[in-house]
Amino acid sequence: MDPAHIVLLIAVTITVVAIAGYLIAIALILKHVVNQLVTILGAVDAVTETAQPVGAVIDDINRDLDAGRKLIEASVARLEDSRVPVGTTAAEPGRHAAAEPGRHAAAEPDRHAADEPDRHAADEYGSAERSEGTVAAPSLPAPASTGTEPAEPRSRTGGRGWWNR
Amino acid sequence: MTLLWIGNLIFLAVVIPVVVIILRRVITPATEIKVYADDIKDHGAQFAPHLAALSELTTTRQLVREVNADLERYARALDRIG
Repeated sequence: MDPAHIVLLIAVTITVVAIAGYLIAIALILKHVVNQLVTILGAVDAVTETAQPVGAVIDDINRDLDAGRKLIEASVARLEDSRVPVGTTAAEPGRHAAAEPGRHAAAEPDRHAADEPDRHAADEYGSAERSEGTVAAPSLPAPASTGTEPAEPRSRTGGRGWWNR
Repeated sequence: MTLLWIGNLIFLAVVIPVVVIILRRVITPATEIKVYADDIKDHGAQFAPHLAALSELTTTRQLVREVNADLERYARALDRIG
C-alpha cells in the first residue's frame, strides 16, 4: 500500500470523525434545548391558566367597590341634608337674613345721601371704588340688637368708616 | 503519485480546516441557544411563585362582597338615624 493512500485514508477519517463529533454535539445541544423549551412551555401554560380568570375577578371587585362607594356617598349626602351642622341653631340664619339687609339697605344709602353729597360731587373719580369698598362692608359682624332698631348716623370722628382710614 | 500527494496536501490544509470552521460556526449559535434556554428556564421558574397570589383574588372578591353587604346594612342604619 502506497504511503499516499494511507495519508489520504487518515485525512478522510479525521474529517469524518470531526464532522460526526460536531454533529453529535449539535444534536445533544438541540435535544437539551428542546427539553428546556418543553419545560418553559409547560410553565407558560400554567401561568396562562392561572392568570386567565383574573380579569373577570378584578371586574367583579371593582364593581362591588364602586357600588359600595356610591352607597356610602348617597348615605352621607342624605345625612348632610337631614342634619343641621354642629354649632349652629335654627335661629341663626334668620338673624342674618332679617337684620343685615335692613341695616345696610336702610342706613347706608341714607348716610351716603345725607352726609356725603358734596364729597362725592367733588371726588368724582375715586368715589366709585370707595363706595364699593363701603358697600362691601356688610361682611362685618352685625350687632345682635340691631334687628329692629333705627340706624343711627355715624360720626366722622369714630367708627370704622372709610373716611377714618 | 505526485497528484495524489498534492491532493492529500490540499485535503489536509484546506478541506479539513474549512469543514472545522463551518461546523464551529454552526455549533457556536447552538451553544448560545442552550445557554439562553437555561437562562429562560431559570427565570421562568420564578413566574409561578410571583403569580401565586393571583389565586387569592377569589378570596378578595368574596371579602369585598361581604364588605358590600355590610355597607348596605350600614347605609340603612344611617338612613334610620337620619
